[in-house]
Amino acid sequence: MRVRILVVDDSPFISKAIARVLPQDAYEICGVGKNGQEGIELYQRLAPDVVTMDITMPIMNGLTAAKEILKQDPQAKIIMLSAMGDEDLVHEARAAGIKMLLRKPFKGPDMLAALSKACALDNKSGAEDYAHQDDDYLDCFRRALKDTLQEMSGLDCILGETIPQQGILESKGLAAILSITGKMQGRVILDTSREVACWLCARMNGEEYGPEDDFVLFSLAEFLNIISGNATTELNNRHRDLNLRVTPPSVFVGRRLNINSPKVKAGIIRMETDAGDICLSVGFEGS
Amino acid sequence: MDARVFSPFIDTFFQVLPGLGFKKVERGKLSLRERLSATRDVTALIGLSGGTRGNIAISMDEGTAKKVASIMMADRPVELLDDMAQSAISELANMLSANAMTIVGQNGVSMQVSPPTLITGEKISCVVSMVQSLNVEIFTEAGMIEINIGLES
Repeated sequence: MRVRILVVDDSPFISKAIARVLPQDAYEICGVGKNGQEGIELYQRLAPDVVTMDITMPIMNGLTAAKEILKQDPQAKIIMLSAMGDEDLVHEARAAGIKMLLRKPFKGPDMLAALSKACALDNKSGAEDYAHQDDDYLDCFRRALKDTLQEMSGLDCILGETIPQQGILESKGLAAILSITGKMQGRVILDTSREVACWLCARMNGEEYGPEDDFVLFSLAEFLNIISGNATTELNNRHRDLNLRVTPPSVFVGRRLNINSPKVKAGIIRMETDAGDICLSVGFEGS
Repeated sequence: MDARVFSPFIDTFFQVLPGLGFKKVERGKLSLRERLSATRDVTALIGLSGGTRGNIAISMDEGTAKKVASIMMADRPVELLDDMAQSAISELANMLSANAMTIVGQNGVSMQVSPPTLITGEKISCVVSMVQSLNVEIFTEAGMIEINIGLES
């Protein structure tokens, strides 16, 4: 039997986005409510297995609706979806005992994980909180790397697992470096070999470039600049008061190039391309 | 380039180094370059953001870096530019930029600096930042330390 989901959200985009990530053989959206009031009515009428509930909605917000639903059915499984600016309501939701929180924009696998957790969940047992994961920032950079590559070169790439970086980064010969200031301070390094950089530059610009051409370096710097700009914008939108800003990128070329940021804890995202690997190392102080 | 921003990064050497045990701190040549470049063996890179964006590259040869690290660690001999020595150089860059930022703030400019990233290597052929930069030589008993200041606008 398929799991029946009630989506309560004032944005039709969200119910579409949820529908898109659900395997149709396992889940179905049985109803869509546009505000808290409709959510309560539909819950009574449809008795869904799980509810996804936006927090900020007109007429009645998701928090009030969730509390009302839980009053009528203490076993109700509710996943709250929060967006930027919802922080106060998120606190209130937690205080009201709602443990399933997912931040928008969400990724497909996170939504599926939250749903399967919710289905298996006895509401009184401790549930996991998906909203504030420590490696949140690394995920933003992963997405930004993949999306930016796609936009700039039309290439799709396979990203390896994000692995923690210990100590010094041994460069493959060419490293673009950019710093980040704000509430979290750190640096982002895009590292590869000259050959791969030339190959990537050719894909981005539609022309071939020699290994000594400085244009390759400028392209790599710009690539890093856009990745970092996109990722920090997303992080700033998600977390108030972060005020992340990027500094202009620099590119270092040399032999036995090592990069060391003693106070930074970093994760490395490896991107496989036809020409070879490109690494993105993202690290913040004390993170 | 805004003197309220770049001169503190030169002045900071004369304020910070003597306190760390350096006996000689003298200014050498000052030159303007088309790009920010730092081609020596050891470079501490610091990013600037906020009111003014840019990069500061404090660059020196390996021999100088070892002597600088040694002075920083109460004249303990430094044979290798190991983790300890690198973190001493990085700490020096931190102190220089933190002190410079205090003066920048007094000059009424709002700006933020990033923690330093240390780059070491051989035959570093190119360092690129697409901005005009100021190159200043600072002579110490450990050797020459080069500071490159590249500011946007």
